[in-house]
Formats: sequence, C-alpha cells, structure tokens
Amino acid sequence: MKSAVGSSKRAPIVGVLMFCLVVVCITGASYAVGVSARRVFLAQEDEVIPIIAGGALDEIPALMRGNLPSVTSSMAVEQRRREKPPRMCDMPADYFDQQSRGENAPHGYDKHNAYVRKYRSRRGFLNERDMRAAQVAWHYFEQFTQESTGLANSVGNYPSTTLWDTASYMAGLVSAYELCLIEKPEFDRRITQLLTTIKGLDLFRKELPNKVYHTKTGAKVDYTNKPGEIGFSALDIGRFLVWMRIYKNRYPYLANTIDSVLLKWDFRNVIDDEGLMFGAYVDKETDETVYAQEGRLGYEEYAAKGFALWGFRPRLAHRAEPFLTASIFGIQVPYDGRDPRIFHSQNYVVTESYLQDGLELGFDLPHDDSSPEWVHTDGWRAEFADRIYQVQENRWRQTGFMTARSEHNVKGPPYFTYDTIFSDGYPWNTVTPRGDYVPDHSAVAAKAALGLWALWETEYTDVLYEAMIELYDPENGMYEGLYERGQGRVGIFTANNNGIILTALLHKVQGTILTPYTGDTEVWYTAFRDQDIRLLRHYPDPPQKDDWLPALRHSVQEKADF
Amino acid sequence: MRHTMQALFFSLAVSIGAASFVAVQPARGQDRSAEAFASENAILDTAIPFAIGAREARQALRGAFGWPSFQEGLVQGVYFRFDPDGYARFAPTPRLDVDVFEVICRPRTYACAARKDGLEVFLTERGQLQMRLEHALAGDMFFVSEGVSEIQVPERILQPLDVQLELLLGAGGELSTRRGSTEVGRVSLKGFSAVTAYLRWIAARQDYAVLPRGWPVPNAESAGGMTQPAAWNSPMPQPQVVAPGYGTPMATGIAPATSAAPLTYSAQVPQTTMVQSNTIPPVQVQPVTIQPVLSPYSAGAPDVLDAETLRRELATLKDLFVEAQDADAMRARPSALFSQQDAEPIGQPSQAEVKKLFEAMERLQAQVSQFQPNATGSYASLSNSTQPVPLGNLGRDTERTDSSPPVQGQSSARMAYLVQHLGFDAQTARAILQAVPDNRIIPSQASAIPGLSTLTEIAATPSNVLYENAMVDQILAELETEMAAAGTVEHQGVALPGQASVEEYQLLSRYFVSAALPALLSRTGAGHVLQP
Repeated sequence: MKSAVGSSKRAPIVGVLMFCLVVVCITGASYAVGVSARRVFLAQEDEVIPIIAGGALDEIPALMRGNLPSVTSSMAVEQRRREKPPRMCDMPADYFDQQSRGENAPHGYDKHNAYVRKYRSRRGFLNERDMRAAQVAWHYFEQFTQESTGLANSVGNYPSTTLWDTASYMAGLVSAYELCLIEKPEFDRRITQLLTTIKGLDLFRKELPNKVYHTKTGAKVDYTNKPGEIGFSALDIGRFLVWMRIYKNRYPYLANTIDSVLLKWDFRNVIDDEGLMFGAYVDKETDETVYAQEGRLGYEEYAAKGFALWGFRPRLAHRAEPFLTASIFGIQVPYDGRDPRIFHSQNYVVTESYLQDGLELGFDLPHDDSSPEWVHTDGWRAEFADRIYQVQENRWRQTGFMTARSEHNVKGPPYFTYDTIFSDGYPWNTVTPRGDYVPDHSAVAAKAALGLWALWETEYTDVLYEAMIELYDPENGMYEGLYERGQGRVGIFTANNNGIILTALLHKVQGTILTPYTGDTEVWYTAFRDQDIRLLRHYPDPPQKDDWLPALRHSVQEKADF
Repeated sequence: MRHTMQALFFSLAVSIGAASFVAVQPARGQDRSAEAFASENAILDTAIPFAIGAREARQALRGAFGWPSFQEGLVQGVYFRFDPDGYARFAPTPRLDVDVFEVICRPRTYACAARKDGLEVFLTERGQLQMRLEHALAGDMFFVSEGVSEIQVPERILQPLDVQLELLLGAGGELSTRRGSTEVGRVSLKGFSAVTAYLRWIAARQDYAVLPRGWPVPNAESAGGMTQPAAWNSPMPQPQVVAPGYGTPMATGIAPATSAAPLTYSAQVPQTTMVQSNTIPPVQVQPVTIQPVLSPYSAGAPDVLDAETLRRELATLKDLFVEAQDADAMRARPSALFSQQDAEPIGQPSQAEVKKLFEAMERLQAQVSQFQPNATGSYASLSNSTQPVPLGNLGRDTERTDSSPPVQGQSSARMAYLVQHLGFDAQTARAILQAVPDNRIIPSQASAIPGLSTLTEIAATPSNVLYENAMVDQILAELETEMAAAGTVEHQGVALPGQASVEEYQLLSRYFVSAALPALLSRTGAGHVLQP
C-alpha cells in the first residue's frame, strides 16, 4: 500500500555516509577532550634535581668514598644510638634500676627477623665471689704477660700465642679496666705496648699474621714454637678484629694506632668475592701457600662478623647453610652440614662460639648500634644459641651430668680435646684434634659454664656458677674446668679461659661488650686513597645500607622433639 | 760494717732469688702439655706410611701448639692413628673408641709401650717383646681363647716373648688370666700384631725391614724404593747386602725382624744372639753398642740444625758412647762370653751346647780365614774382643776401599770361590770382599765381574744420610779422629799377641750380619734364637 501524501525514496549510501560522519565527529571530539584534560590535569613543571657532591645521587669516585660515614642502624632508621656504659666503679648505685630489660617482650622472631630470647642475661654489680674470680682471672695475665713484647702466653708459662688468644688477652684487659681492677695508666701501658708489638709482627708471607708467635720475641713460629711459619687462620683473625673494633669504639684515642695495625695487612686472600673465609697453610711438599676454606657453623659466623665490623662483606660465611640438625634430648641441635669424611674438617658443636657472639656482639648484626639489649638483630644466631643452652640443661636434667661443653686443654696425651655437644655424627662426642674418641677427657669447661651463667639467668646456670666460681688457683688463674667423670680439676691455665671468664663477668656489669662507634670518618677507610694499595689489599669502603649482612631466620622448633 | 752490709745484701738477694724461684715453680708443671710438642719430641715422620693405604692428615688445631699432622690407616683389621711423638691408638673401629691399644712413648726416646685394659706391651732393650699384666700374680694361669675354644699358654708369656708365643698372641682372640677356677682378667688381643709391628717400626726409625713378612708395605714408587729386595725382607731365602738406609738401624743395634726372628735391638747392653742350623755352623753376632739417637731428624734432615746444635748433639752422643764403652769393657774383662747380666732364666744353653757352639765358631773362622790369609785372629782372641766398635769406624768401609791398592787376582779368586763354592750371589760376595780390609778392589777392576760394576758405583756413592752435608762431614771427621785416637790408646794398653784388632772384629761382624745371618735365617726358615 502507498501513502496518499506521496513517498520519497533515499539511497542507502547516504545513510552509511551519515553514520560514518557521526562516528568521526564523536571520536574526534572525545580525543580532543581527552588530550585537553590530560594537559590540564597532568601538566607539571619540569623539575631539575641537582646532584650534590657526596650526596645520595652522586656516583662518588673511589678516591672520596672513604669520607662517607659507615651507615649503621641508628643512622638508617633514626633510632637512638646505644651508649657506652660507665666503668663499674663509676656506676651509680641505682644504675641497674634504671635499665630496662624487656621482661614483657614475647620471645621469638619479630617481623625484621630479630629474635627475643626466652631467658634474659644476668645483669648487676659483681658480688664478692665474682670479684674474687675476676681478680684471679686477671692475675693470669699479670703472671703470664711478657715484659718484652706485651703479649700474653696462651697456656701458662709456655711462651707462644695466637691471635685468638691475644684477643682473649685484650678481652681480659678491657674487663680488668672496666671492672676497676686496674687503672688507666696501666691499661694504656699494656694496650699500647701490645698494639705496637702486633704492628711490628712479621706477617705470614707479607699477608696476614702467622698462626702462632713466640711471646718473648714476637717472632713467628710453628706449632713447636720454633722459628718458622705455618699460615694464617681466618677464624683467629676474625676474633681479633672483633676485639680491635671493641677497643676502637670504646676508646677512640686508640683509633689511629688500631687502624695503623690493620693497614699493614693484606686481605686479598682471606675473603673471596662470595664472602667465604679462607685460611692459609704451607704445602709440605711444594712449600707453596694453600688457601683452604675455614670455619664451621658457630665459629664461622662469629669470625665473619668480625670481618664485617671492618667493612668486609662475608655474606656466605655469615649464613648458617649448609646446616643440619640432630635431635638430642628433644632439641634440634644445629650442626654444620659439610661432611667431615669429605672435607676432612670436623664439625664441632661447642658452646664457645655462641657465647662469644652473645657476650661480645649481643647476637646483633654488625651494623646494629641501636636495638635494645634483649632484641637480637642477628636473630637466628640467638635462636641457635638458645638451643645450645637448652640441650645442655636438658642433659643435666635427664642424666644428672652437669654440662657446659667447649674445647679445652687437658694434662697429658692428647693434650687438647674438643669436648662437643655433637660432632662427626655423635652426640656428646669428646674428640682429639685428629678425631679419636676420648670420653675420659669430657669436662665441664669453666669458660662455658660462666658464659652460660652470664647470658642465661636460670636455675641451671646457678648450679654451674656454684661449681665454677671458686675453681681457681690464686697464683695462676681459673682452672680450665672440672672433669665430668670425677677425675677432678683440669689443671691447666689458659689465656682463652681466663679471658672469656672476665668477659662474662664484664657482661654482667655492662651488657654487650661492643659499643657503638662515635666518630665520623676513619683512617681505616681513608688511608691509601691516593695509591693502589687499597685495591691490591682489598681494603673495603665504609659499609652502606646495601652492604649490610642480611637478617635471616630459620624454622623454629615449637616443642620438644622426642 | 761494710762486710756486714755486703753479707746482708747478698743474703737478701739470695732470698729474693729463692722466693721468685719458688713462686715460679707452681706454674712450671702446667705447661708440660705445651712442651710435649717441642720438635725434639717428634720421633716419627707421619709422611712415611706405616702400611699401604695410610695417609697423612692435618690436625684441626685451634690452639698455639700441637702436632700439625698425624697418620691414619687400616692394617690387619685395625684402624690406627699416630702422632709424630709416637702416640698412637689402634682399634677395630674407625672411631678408635672401643678395644683400643694406646701407645705412649717416653719423651725424646724411642721407648714406647702399648696399653690396653691392664695389658702392657713393650720392647725390651734387646728388642724382644715383653708383656705385663696388671692383675697377674705368680701362679696364675693364662689362656688364649677364640670363641669357644681356648688353649693354655705358659706362664713365661710374662717374660720376653719368643717367636712362637708372639705369633700365637698376635693371632687374635682374648687373653684370660685365671687364679684357680676364677677368671681375674680378660683382655682382647685384637690389634696385638699391628701394635707390636708398630713398636718395632718406631724402634727401627720407621724402617720397613723390621715389619713382619706379608706386611702391606707401600710400593717403591711412592715410598722411594723402600721395597727394593735389599731394603726389606724378601720372602725368598737369599743372602742380602746391607742396603743404603738399612745400614743405619743395623749400626744402631737394630737387626731386621721377621715374623720368625725378633729383632735384636740393643740400647746399652751388648747382646749375643745365637743362631743354630743343621746345615750351617752356628755363628755369633755381636752388634755394636750405640746409645739411642735422641733426635731422629738430626740425621734425616741435618740442615734444620745449626752447627752448634749439631756439635752439641754429637758431643753428647760421644760422651754417652764413651760411657757405654767403658761400661762394656768392664763387663767384658771377666772374659765371660755370656755375662751374668745377659743371662736369662729360660733358654740358657748348657755347657755342652756352648762347647758345640765354640767348635762351630772355629770351623766358621777357618772358612773365613780361607779367603782372608792375613787374618790372624782366632776365636779365642775374638771372644776377648767384646769392646764395641768406635762410632767413627761405622760406614767408613767404602772410603777405605777407594783409597787402597788393588789386589785383582786375589779378589777375582775369592769372588769366584764365594759365588761358585759357597753359593753366594754377586752382591753378597761383593759385600763380603768389601768388608775385608786387605782385599781392595777399585771400581775399574770390579767391572771385570758381571754385575759388580753397578754395585761398586753404589758402594762408592757417599751415603746421603751421613755425608751429604759438608758441615756434618767436618764434624764427623773431627769426631772420628778423636775416637780413633782414643781407641788406639786403649787398645794399645790391653793388646795381646794374636788378638784380633778392631778392624778385624768389625770385619767379622759385618760379614756375619750382612751375609751369614740372613742366609741362616732364610735357610732355617724359622731361625732359632737362643737366649744366651
């Protein structure tokens, strides 16, 4: 049907054209609106950020890196830096009343992988018995320090020592001064002579100090105390570096002397690029230097932190891996996973290395100078140390054997034993350096017992204290320990034992021995910038935040594993 | 007044000195453990393997002293580890924790003893094994048991052991001690043979020659020719020549020990070892008397000592030697061949046996004089000459040989006699001829005999141990001169017509030791050793 008014017929092309036109118009309008809006809303003024010399954006040349301050936790997170506590005789009577102990802090890891231990350290003034023990222990060093060199004998009047034992002497010296057993003139005389001697030591093949030195002459010797050279020990040097840092931070007037000692040493072979530590020994056949990885779980991390305190980056050495655990009296005791049958190096688990970390470094990371005393920023070290303590208490509770195990000298063959919690696949393994099982030489080590007493305030450590605190010879110092099988005292006197006991007593008074560095730049970081010596000897730059050792955690044992 | 003050001052100084001395005394004992590692106490080189498969390892030392190395291995079913001072442990488990033989040596000596559960084993001064049982009393009975079977062993196991008993105890099992029907002690013998071999190895300054037959000794390539036939006992019965490196223990009174013949090690007392055989006349061996060397490294590595130290050690050695010489001379004067001190309660030969032995010695002497026309010593004169040979004469035969005129015809004839008639091989014959002072052969003439030129070269080569250092040469020359002078004076004083000279005595000794004794031992197989 058709309309009356008529009809008009339009071509389809027109419709298509009209549609396209509308689409184009709408799109163009949208684009124009968008661009305009973008211009309006996002338009900002071009800002030129100037790079300030020495500032964060400045790619600072090597020549100037020494001027940078070492970045510590107090600088990075703007926390209040810890302070060096006063000497015991300068402490007010209510000194410990003012100290917070974090009693209410829950134990375990926090979100930064720091760890709060279940037990607190023992703090307070020394009582009469403590003071008597401190005096006797210090008497060892009075008796056996050589006038000619200022070095102290490692064992009694046998005139030889290592850097490990020299560090123990330095520990004893600091403790004697801070506990007011000696005054500053005596302290200064001793430390100055010691540092002068150490600076003049003939190094092992112009690298690092030899493993052993004759204390009367300062000459490098072999294990029989005859002139010769053995090699160097990364662990000994690591411990020595811990105590050099403690001295430098506590007594800034010694800083230049301390730096000049270390600036003679060549660190190119002791730490590799991955942060693994190497000791050196001489090949018997070829007389060439052989560098071999040194350190097992416990000692390795402690020594690594000594290097890190001086700006080195022992990342791999500081890690617990590879480690395994052995279940002993319900505790998963960590031990080094490197098989002694393959690596020909025993994986001792002893108390000593954990004690030294706790007493001297507070189970903290090297860059930490601000965390509270009860927070341990090197969390897994504190947690492992708790296990080491607990398994020894458990043994005492379940067998009756008072237990505080460490390495110690013994009278007669084999003369030295590693009295371990675990080694070579066996718990409570007492072995000689060559691996013989010698259970008759198992003992309660005095240094381990008093170290546990200082760091764990418990009923068990009270028992240890009672057993050890009067175990001394007034003429020669504290005895090495008490035989477990009833043979009496271990009748040996050593620098290490007396040094650690003094450290434990000082820890009771002052807490963590390492105090923050209060200066800015250090000669250690600025020296030789105009030469290639720093490069050749692998002297580090001041550590920045990226250089910090990582805070790690490992799985926690929630309940006893039987 | 002045004198009084001086006296007061003097007494004060003395009291202060005494007080300080007393004050230091308590501390002296404590560092003994450190002094135990003085280099003088090192009597063993841990780089020399005790048995095949043993390895030297570094000790994990944390302290300032200790032995830097030790050796560990497995031999005859027991694991072992030993330190340079001789301290060792032998046990059937690698942990060395149960059933352990522990060997401890007296500092700076080769006197060592092995202990296990009340059993102590050590070498006598003559090199024989002796046992000591802590709880044993006279009248106790001893049994060696293995499982359910057991045999009774005589009470004389507590006296120096003979070969049979040593072999029996070394076979393993357990040694039980019974008093009536009650067992008062039982100790495992596991590791006994390995420990006894170790004790002998120490006493012989790590010479493989003293180890039992069948002992797994490292091969020549790795051990520097230690398994060459001349240097260690071959299972084949053949006469042997004293080899370089073997002469030192021989000179110090240590004879090779085999499983069949305990070594004859003499530290101070001269000894007499009798060897009997059905086919060969018995011979008497008189090892020279030398004090134990205090420092083993003084000979092995002379360069590590300075001249003064070496001179002092040699002077000490000389003094000790002279003392021993005097003592021996005193003992020898009663003209008793078997002195009272040498007498042992068991195995003492009867008069008839002694007479028989004397006759045999005369026959042997006659044989020797057949190729030694100038020798005038008889057995009687020989028996009077029991003084030890001066140290300076040791090892000098080679030098004397080279500087003497040749007697080629005699030498060839004697060589032919020794090889063809007596059945010695060329090496042994050569050694015998070398030991004869009047039979000089120069190297050029020696080449006429097959196989002799090489031997002559070896003989002409100076000993590496004794003469490699000019300073040592000089000192030894001085010492030899002194000793020779002293010896001449002494012998002039006691010389009798027809009595054998020192050189002749040495000639026979060397001949018997180097040729006759091994031959006898090898031919008899079990080599009877009689107690004098």
